[in-house]
Amino acid sequence: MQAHNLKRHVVTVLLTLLVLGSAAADRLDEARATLWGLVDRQIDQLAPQLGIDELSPTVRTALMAVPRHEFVPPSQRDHAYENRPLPIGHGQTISQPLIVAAMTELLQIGPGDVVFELGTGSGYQAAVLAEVGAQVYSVEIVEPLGERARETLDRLGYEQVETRIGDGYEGWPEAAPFDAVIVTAAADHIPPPLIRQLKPGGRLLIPVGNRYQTQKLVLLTRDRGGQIRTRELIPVMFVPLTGRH
Amino acid sequence: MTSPRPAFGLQLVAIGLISGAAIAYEILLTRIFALVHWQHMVATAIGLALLGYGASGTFTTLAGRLLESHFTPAFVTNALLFAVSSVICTVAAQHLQVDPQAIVSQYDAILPLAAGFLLLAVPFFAAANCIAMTLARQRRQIPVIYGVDLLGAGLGALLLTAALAALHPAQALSGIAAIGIGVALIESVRTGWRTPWVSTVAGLGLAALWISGPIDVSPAPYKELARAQSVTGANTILQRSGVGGTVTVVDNDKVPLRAAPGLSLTSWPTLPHQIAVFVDGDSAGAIDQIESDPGASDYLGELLSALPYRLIDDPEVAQLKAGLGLGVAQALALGARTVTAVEANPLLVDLVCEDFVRADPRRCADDRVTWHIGTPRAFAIVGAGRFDLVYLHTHSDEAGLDALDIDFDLTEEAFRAYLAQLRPGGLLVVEGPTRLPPRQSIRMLATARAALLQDGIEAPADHLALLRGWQRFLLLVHRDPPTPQHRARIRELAEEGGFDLAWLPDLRPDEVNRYQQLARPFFYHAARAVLEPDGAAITTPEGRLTARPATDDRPFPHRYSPWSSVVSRPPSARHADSVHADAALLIGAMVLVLVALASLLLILLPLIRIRRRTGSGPHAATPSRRFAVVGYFGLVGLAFLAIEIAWIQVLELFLDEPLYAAAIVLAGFLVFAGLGSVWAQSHRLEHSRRVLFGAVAVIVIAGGIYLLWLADLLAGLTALSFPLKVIIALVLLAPLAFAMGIPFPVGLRYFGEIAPPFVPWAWGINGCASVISAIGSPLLALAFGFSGLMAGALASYALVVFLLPNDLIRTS
Repeated sequence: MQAHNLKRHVVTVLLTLLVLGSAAADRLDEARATLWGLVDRQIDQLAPQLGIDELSPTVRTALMAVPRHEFVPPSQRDHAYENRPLPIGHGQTISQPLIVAAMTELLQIGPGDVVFELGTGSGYQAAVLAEVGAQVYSVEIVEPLGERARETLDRLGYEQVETRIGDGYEGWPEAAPFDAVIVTAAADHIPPPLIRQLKPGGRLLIPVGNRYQTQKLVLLTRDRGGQIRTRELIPVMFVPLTGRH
Repeated sequence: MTSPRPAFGLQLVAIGLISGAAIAYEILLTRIFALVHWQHMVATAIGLALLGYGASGTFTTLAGRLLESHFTPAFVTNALLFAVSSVICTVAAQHLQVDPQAIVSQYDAILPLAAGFLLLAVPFFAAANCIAMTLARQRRQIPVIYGVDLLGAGLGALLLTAALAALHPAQALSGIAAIGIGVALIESVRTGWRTPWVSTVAGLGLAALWISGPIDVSPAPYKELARAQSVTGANTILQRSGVGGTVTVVDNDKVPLRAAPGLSLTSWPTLPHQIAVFVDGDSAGAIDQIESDPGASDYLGELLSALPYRLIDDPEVAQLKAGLGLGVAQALALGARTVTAVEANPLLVDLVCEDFVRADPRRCADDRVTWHIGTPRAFAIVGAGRFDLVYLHTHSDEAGLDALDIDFDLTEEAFRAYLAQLRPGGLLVVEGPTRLPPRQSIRMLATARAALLQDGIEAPADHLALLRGWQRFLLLVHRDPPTPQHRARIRELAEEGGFDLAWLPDLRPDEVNRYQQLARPFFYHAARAVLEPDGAAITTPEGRLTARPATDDRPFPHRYSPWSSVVSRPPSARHADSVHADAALLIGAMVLVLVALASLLLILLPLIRIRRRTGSGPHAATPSRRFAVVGYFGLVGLAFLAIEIAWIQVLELFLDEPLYAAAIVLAGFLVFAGLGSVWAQSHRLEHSRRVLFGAVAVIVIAGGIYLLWLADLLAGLTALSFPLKVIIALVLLAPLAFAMGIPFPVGLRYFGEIAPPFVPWAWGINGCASVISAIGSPLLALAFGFSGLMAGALASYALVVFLLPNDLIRTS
């Protein structure tokens, strides 16, 4: 009799967990759909400043496919699908979804393109680029962050993202030249090695500013003749962080 | 035989010590929080903590009888509370989540922050209780007690500043806590109250301070230093504290720092190994390590700031605000004959000229280089027409947190002094960071224009050129109008380096916004607007900005938002353009409102108690008397701080000494005011009105004279030696400060005779008014200048004469 009761309790608990888990997953799916709908509309509004028509289906699909909640610390999971940057520790953040969408679109990446990313951070941007079809080389200077990103990317099966802990300033000469480069933290100058490793016709994106001011996306292009130009695209103020960072 | 009033002298010592410790703690907090949090708004935040003074008045009024009957235990307890809380609250407040942008975008975000900073009110509350209780208990001795309070504060400010030259702020904090313990012990010994117990507690407290050592003061994770230290391979190789801040040097072999501000996009040099330097947790630049490879600094010729060296051959150069001497190395690399570097922070000069002199020997060890420790203004006063190039390096906070920062080196008068340093054909070069919408670059352009106009140049726009590169601007101010060849050369160099022209006298619209493209040519439009004959405020598509040049009377060169744009544009986290309002203006205004509301509460709260205690007899706290008390002590509190703040600015400019001038003037002010208060003790109560009239007359006359003629008088004395200037400054402020020390104690003693509960209440009112004045004075000076602030304060003093009632009734 006791064994029967025990079995019944176990089944009840398992069913409860299943229901709760399923409800949580539904909530995440709903939040994810809401977020990307919002980002889609914001990109439409910003399209003239960004110099694009709209969020392309490829990028939209990539964004939908990457589970952002897997790239944030457990304490931030409930906020994973809010349109704002989130703290990931060590004074760093995972970028605002709008910025990730805009940057991915602006890089105009096609399948097989080779992309260099300076600043892996959580690994989220690299995963989105991989979903678009790029081979990604990403470097992170903060060791614990880089290790955590590598573990997340491995767990989710992003094999086309290669990561390295260390100094991204020199780029990744063995994999150069690149079709596109993303620099996730602005220095007081654009690292010359990255310009050098950019293919003619390639694009380099860099957000400028810090979290206390307007962030501007700057697009650097190196045309076929080698002429370098930058274009400041959109001012986007990061919504202030909440919680510990 | 026992004395009915034990050792009054010893009590005064205790008052002086606790008062000195409290002001030292206030100054120390500004240093600690500049390191831990953000540098620019610390004073405003600490203003909140000073509400502890106001709260002590409320508390002492409400608990009046209890405190009177248990004076010594209460005094000892408060002194110990000051000691304990000064350490604990500082540690706790370091963990506050400070996010200035959150405040700018969400008004209510200031509430938790304000609550956090109110934690720091506890030590001030405890120290102020000691003083308020003593004043309330010994009403006849009020002038001498208050005088000692001021004297202690003055000496405390001076000693703390001197101590910071040798001690880390955390070590100084332990010393301040020890003084609190010492004060408790003095009071216990003086009165014989439980001396063994208090001695034991004091001994244990001192032992705890000794064993635990200085508290840990580390930068918050968002500070640049914390970020640099978190990078793989980071190694802190030097940390040193001084009056100029805490300097930290970080090296990293794995991920070296690379700083090359304004590097051209068209050349791709290799940068040398560099070590990063931080002052109070914020980046102060880098020092190249070129000892083994001098060619590694080729990048210096590829920076935007290198352009003027291609316009003038073999120049003699002055580098103002030279920092770590990047400009010095650049000048030598590009053929300068001599370089004179001027830097106000001796800690930075020590790094360049001593600790790391071998890393980049050119910066200090080269025979062609001379370093001066001092402000650019002081340097520019001596001699004239000595340089071909005068460089002025500027900084700007990205969020506008520095809008209330005072900087006499970037005013119209300062620019005129720099221009006077130029030889014929010479160039004043101003370089700094760019932002959108354009702010500092345009403000500097407007300042240069105003200075040229003042120098009698009719078409200043013809003397100016503005360029921008990667996040940097370069303003060229020509002593003589550039020739067409000269302009052609500027165009050519801009094209070579991929730099954009934002202003040249004959610039065509199709020549702008070519390499580093913006949605619109904002810089060109703004430059044109500001160079219009009446260009005082400019309108860009992003909003209205003030381009009025900073002057010595309104020395706020980092303020860009006019009040109208702050008020009319409620910030929103959703809109990028909301950041146009300078954060400092918003935060300052919001803190002022908070403090005003809190003060109102603290002032009104004791009223019920006062009415009950004074009853309805001749000592009653009638409405007219209550109004007189609020008006009298409110105005005195507001005016005292306002004049003190205005004077510190005027004399700081005169003394032109960046580190100690403020402390010397503050200490001088408090000491002379203290002497004035002690002097007032010698006058009979019945003569209070006469004494007050005399003091106010001196304040108004001396203040008025200074207001009208002081600037001109001091301008003629600026070339004197520093010690002589200190003596002159002290002599000038002595009569004013002496007189300003009189109205408060005279009024307090007078009102205390009418109704004793008025004493602690008035103390609280005065405390609240002082806090309001400390936070509000910079905002008023921003609007009306320091002369306007001074005039308002003098008028306030004149008014208090009418608030001292005639109906003095002597208590028995």
